Amino acid sequence: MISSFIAGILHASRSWKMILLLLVANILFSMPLALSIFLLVVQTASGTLAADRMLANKIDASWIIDVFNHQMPGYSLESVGIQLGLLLAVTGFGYLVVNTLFAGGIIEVFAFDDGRFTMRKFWAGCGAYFWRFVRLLLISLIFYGVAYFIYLLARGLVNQTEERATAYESVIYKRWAVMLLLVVMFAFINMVFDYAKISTVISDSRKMFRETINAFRFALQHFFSTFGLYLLIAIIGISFFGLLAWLRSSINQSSAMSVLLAIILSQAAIAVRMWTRLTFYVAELDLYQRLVPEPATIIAPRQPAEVEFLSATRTRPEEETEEIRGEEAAELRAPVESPPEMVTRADGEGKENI
Amino acid sequence: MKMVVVLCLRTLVLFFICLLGFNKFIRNASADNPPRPVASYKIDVKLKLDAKQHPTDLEGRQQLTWLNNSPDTITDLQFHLYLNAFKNEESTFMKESGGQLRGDRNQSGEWGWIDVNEMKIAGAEDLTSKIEFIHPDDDNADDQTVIRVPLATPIKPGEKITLEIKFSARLPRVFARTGYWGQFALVAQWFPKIGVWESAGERRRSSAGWNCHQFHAMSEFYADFGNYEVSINVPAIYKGKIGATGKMESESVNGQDGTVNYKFRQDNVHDFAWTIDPNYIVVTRPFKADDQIKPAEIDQWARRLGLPQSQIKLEDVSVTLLIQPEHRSQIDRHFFAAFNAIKYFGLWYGRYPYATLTIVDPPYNAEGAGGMEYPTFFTAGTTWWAGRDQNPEEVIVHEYGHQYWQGMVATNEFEESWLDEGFNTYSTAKVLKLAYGANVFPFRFAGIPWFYLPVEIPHPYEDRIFTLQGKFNDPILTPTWKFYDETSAALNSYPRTGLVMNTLERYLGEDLMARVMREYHQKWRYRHPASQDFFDTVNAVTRQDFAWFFDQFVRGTNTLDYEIAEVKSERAETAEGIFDKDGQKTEIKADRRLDSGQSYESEVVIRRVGEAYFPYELLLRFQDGNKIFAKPVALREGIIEYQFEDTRTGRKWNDSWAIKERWKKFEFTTPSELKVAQLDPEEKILLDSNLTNNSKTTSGSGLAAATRWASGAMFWLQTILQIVGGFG
Repeated sequence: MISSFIAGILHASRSWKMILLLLVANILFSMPLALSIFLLVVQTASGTLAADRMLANKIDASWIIDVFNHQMPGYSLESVGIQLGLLLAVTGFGYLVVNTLFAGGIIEVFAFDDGRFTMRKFWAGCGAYFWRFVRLLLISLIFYGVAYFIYLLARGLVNQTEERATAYESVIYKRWAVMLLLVVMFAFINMVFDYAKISTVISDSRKMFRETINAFRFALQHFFSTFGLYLLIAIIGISFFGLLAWLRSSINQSSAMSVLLAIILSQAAIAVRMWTRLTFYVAELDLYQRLVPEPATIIAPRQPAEVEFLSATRTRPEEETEEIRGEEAAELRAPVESPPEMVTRADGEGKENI
Repeated sequence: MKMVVVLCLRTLVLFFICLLGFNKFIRNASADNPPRPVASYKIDVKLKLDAKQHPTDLEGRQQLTWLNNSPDTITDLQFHLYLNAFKNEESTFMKESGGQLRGDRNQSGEWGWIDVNEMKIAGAEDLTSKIEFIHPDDDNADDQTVIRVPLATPIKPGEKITLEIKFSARLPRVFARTGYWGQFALVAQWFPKIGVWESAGERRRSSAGWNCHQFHAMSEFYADFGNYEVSINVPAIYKGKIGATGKMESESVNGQDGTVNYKFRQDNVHDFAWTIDPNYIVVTRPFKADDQIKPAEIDQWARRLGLPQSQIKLEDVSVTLLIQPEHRSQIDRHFFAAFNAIKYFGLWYGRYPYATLTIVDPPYNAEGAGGMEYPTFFTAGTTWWAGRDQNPEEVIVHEYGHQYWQGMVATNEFEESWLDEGFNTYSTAKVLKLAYGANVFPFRFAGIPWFYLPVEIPHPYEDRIFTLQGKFNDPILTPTWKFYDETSAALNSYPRTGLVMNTLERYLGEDLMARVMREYHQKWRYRHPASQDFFDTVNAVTRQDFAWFFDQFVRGTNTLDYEIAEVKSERAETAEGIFDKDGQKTEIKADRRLDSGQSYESEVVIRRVGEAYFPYELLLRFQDGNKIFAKPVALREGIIEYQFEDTRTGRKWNDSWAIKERWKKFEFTTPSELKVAQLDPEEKILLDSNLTNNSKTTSGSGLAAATRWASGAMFWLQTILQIVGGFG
């Protein structure tokens, strides 16, 4: 797990082009809202002292109310809130689709050819796996739905006790527990479907239900390794993001330069989120390939220098892969599934032993 | 020698008479000499638990001594039976509220009610059979919150009558200001309470009569002052876990059944409430006036109000806090807020005259009992994980403030709620501003304040924000049950009045406003003022007629909004054309104009956008740092007269603006370019519905500000998108 974690961090850190690509996509999706706010402030506060106040201080609440009452007739905080919610929903859906598209490219890049990034390879991966990953996304909704249903049941039980409570303390602890349960369930499902995607790319499978079941089986069989790795990366990512977000918030944005610095920090924080996402994929890919040995026929010779942290890196087989799919491949995997000695190896030697 | 002594004595007497006359606006007898008690109660009440051990049932006997303090002969009596508001869905209260108030909903099957089992004049007539329900405010025959009792023998002016009343009551599940929850109970509006007899002229009434309104959803209470002596019998589990109006005189355990008897007493109050909860942590701390208030503060307020220091000094108060165990970490915060409130209200309006103050923290799920005031006793309420925001401080200061505007100055909250709630909103913001500064606004999730929003709302701007979110469907001066809806009632009674009072303060100046408020409070302490009494006080203390202000903003609904419509500042140039100079014609061509030195021609157009008018100040700032300040110096016969002053040269000149005209153009020639024109530069006029259009600059794009806030919003959207994208 630790080796995979380190492999993930190192390789993701070298993938700055991919981080940049993801960041640009993220910025493009966020731009409409940012531009709307920019234009609103320019149109309503420019040429008044409100603009000075808003640069010198926190948000001028008086200005917000004035804008609602006089610049946006017919709007209220509530109606804008609803519209903002709708905008977020549409943007969020679009971004989800794009992330589903990108997931194929990311895994494709890291899974083959030593993880070298080329636009062609990336987009080829995006195109190749998009519809399969959409199916995985739809399947994942079932599991997320079940998890949410379990959460609602637990929440309902807590609410029943809440209605009779005369103290909040006991209620809030139960609520936290239920919320933690939801987070853990969502995180686990999220991780499982990462492995489902990885498995799909590695085996070029088209049977998404089967990949889902395999991924669940894999995640449960190696629960501590897989979930431990997931949590470790999540904690590291959240910590870095939190640090940068805190630094950003501590800047007194009262001049153009300080505003610029805050923008740089905020984009650095978002870039850290991208980096975290890549780290998930690389580390999980690495762990997957450590724990699930490949069929002997698809093993390619590898350079010793490149396998120090990247046991998952390999060359995509072209014709041979097709030949060993199906039952034959399954037979090849079955006798050697999760041999302990494979787990402990730090490089590709184990694969050669198969 | 004798003559000299007599002259000296006469001079001395004259001097003191003059002194008294000088202070007549500020000093009066009411503060330390309360009027004769009108409605005094001796009540014995026993609280019983129901089958589920909930404290629901009351059995009471009360002796009411009522004084006819009017010149009228009275032939009937009227009483409030407030608990019947919770009897069923047909009561006026339930119909108006729809069964919910301040976010709390009544619980079906957990009704409250009160029955008068017996009512007789002590040693004389039995009135029980004569009791009838009346509905003075509406035609709701099902409402049972007011009863009328005709008397065989009228009560003459100055006569007292003593009534013996037996009653039974059931508390509702806590919903609106009263009731039980679990083993907690707030026992309020719980006994038959006599209405207020108002003679002609009192509170500007045209004819004499009872003021005894039904219990309405949005209104609170109104009663006469008296002395209360209340004995409460509670089950053993409540031993030491009780709080009430006034001072606890005795506690004794009943040997037979283990119940505990308490006796509370308080003079010169108009209501009595009490509470029990076996979970309470009871903490009592003294407010020691000498420790809490520095001599310099007393001196400052004595000078500000023109009063001797002896009248400013406060007295010690024993403050008891009954707090839930899960809020124990907030005990100090509660006391700090209460002590600040006692201090500032006392310094500003007059000393708190009672020996005790009780603060109640209702339990979870009994929030309907929170934030309510009774004499010497109020309920607050807080969150489990209190953040840096002013919660629970705001509610503590606010509820304490009601001791002044509802408890001592006994406003009729049914008819003129603004005199209590609005004055208190204004006073609360002042205390909070002094004691804590601007409020912060937490983002809460799962009960935890995670971070604070980057929004700055200094007191009292929160009133402006709340007010401007609503529409002015009603004037502030509207009986509470006649407001368009609950929102209109709340906005007008609380924040809009707060804005009116703050605008008045900023217009008059803090010192003059302090005198107005002190005078009003002292004059009407232990009495029942009407709105006009406040208007009269303002006019008397300021020696101005503020009818234009109150007519527009208390009696009216017009919107106030002025704007800087246009600002221009251009280098002055010699005009083009042919000019006679030294007997010769000289032509100035367009391409050969001559600069007229360093002068700029500037013009500022101010427009009255709303229907209401106000004498605004105007400030012009120039490139070279010079300023021109325009101050309205008179408002008469529909004309606002302005005096302009150039702060560098000291030059002064006058101009005027007819109120009925929508716009006014001011023109100036100055040595420097005009940079900023600003109406109301100190933001005195918080009633202005659009402060953003009160300024205009000749430069400044606002790009930096726009970039700052747009990039901030973008960052958080990016973060949210990343979370969503993680599922893909």
